[in-house]
Amino acid sequence: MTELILFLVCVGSAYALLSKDLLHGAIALSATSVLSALLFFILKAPDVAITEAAVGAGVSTVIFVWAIRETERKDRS
Amino acid sequence: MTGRRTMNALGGAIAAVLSLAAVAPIVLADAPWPRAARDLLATAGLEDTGASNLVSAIYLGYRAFDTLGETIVLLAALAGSVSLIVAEGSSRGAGKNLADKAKPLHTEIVNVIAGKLAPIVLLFGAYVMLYGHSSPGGGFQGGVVLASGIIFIAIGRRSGGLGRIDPSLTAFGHASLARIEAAAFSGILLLSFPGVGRAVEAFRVAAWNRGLGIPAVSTIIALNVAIGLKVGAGVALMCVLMLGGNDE
Repeated sequence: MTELILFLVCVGSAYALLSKDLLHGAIALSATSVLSALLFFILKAPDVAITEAAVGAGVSTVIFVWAIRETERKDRS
Repeated sequence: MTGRRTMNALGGAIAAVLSLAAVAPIVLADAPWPRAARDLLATAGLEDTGASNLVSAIYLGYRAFDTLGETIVLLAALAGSVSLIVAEGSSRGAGKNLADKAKPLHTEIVNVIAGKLAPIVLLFGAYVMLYGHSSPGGGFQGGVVLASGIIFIAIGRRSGGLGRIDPSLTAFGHASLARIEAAAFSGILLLSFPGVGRAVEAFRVAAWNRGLGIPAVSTIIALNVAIGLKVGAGVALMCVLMLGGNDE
């Protein structure tokens, strides 16, 4: 289970790095955070899991989406 | 373009080598790990502080001064981002009107999130904050959950999706958020000074001897509440300002 979640975290992070659509990347990061929170919970650190879920999946996604809305959605490089 | 790509790859390789060089001594060294502090905390931590969550017992019972430093880091980050947001908003206020961009996003999802989920999230945040001494959680975690609830309500307020909740009940204006944050930070400052901890402990023991039961864990609860309010109000203040809540 741990290996599967770690693999999915790697896949999500790689997608977030490579995707040209920044909104898709932000959502992939959010999903990665949820998976990490699940991982922390499995590894018996529920307080870290609460923080990861609230900060990673919640607040930082709001900040990313706001920044994308204020700038541009496509990566031009 | 290819030159830039090779430069990037080279930079990544150098960063990887440097981080390996930083971690390698820790892995390779065969010196025994220091155990005295760990064993002391593991055996006496819960009794000393009266908490049943060892994490809270250590970072609030023994190391409140460290925690004060963490909240100062958070305060500096918030001050920087809020000043950026405010400066940015005022400089282009003539060109772009924030109210124009606030399109009415009155959908079912927003209705459910703002009107029904937000109170539950706020309640859960308060629970995590208040019971940090006995269950997983604490001020930082509860504060961020509280901030999520406040952000939900702010989103609902912008889109008119609060349903039957009276809008005046949900007036989390940024001025009041800033006031809550400042007051809570003063509370942390006061509580985490070493002398204050001693004074509180002396008062508590004296009260205990006279039959007034103030449990030892009350300092940790007070610190958790102060940290939770500070973190929650600070993060929510930043996000409410970002969402364009400058209309009041």
